[in-house]
Amino acid sequence: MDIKTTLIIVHIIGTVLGVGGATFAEIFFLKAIKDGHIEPLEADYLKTTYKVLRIGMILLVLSGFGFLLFYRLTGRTELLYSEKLWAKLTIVGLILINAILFELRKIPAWLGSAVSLTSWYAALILGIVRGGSLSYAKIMYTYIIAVLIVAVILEVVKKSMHVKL
Amino acid sequence: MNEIVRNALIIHVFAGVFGMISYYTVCMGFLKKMPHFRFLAWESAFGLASFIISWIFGGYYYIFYYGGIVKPFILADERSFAHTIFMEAKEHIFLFIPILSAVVLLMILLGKEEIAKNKDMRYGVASIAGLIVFLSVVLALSGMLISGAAR
Repeated sequence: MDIKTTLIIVHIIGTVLGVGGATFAEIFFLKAIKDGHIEPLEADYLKTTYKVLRIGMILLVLSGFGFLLFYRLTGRTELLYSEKLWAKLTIVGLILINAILFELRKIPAWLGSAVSLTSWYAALILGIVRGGSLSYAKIMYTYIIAVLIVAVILEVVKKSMHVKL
Repeated sequence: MNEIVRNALIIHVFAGVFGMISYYTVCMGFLKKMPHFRFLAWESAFGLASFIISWIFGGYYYIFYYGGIVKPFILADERSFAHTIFMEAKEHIFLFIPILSAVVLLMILLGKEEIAKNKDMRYGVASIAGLIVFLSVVLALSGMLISGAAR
């Protein structure tokens, strides 16, 4: 197996764990707080899900830098100035900042959840979408709109589940 | 680029990324009410070692390849800002990171009792670890801009 294939596999595994982790973290969290408090077993499930999410993030970051290095060493350095790549890096950065703000309780839960979920899906979509016509501004503008839409959807889901929080 | 220089660049990048991940973990660890000191001390020591390794191999790459071969090309190109702004900044900011990392490690090893009792101190250590992460992200992004300019 060549280096590029290995990097693709690790990058996909990282993204899958991250997107799956973020999705299940949200589902488990909503189910856990439905009755107004989190039981020890529910807390344990959440902890495990966050661990999976962190492993996904580490794999994504390591393979991501592997790709950057691969482009440098194979002379495809023009890709390092791709606006899509910089948008993806910004979104991954936002996932990390969001986690710190969440831990510090400096971001409202509705926004933190929406940012985490949307960012992971955005990273997945940006990894799949091919073609260089997407500008940085266009991607980030779409991303902000998507965060707001996801926030509204999560609030609707919370209301329909009669979450006591 | 010969094999040694190529490996030096790979080690420089990955050691830097490992250091960045370690200090992100340290930062998050100290934001918790009950930090796991033993784990965070090891994580910090690993991060410091990673940054020192990145420092040494980055220096080797700069002296034996970048300075003589890549730099003149970038300076002659329209993207000369990649060297005049980003590499110049990188060279100086890079000096801070292992020192800041050593400060965090020493704080964990010598001030464990006080940090455990004092929330402000806990947040202080987390802030320095966060600053290390921020600076290493700036360096990584600068590295990308510089590499991208090396056409």
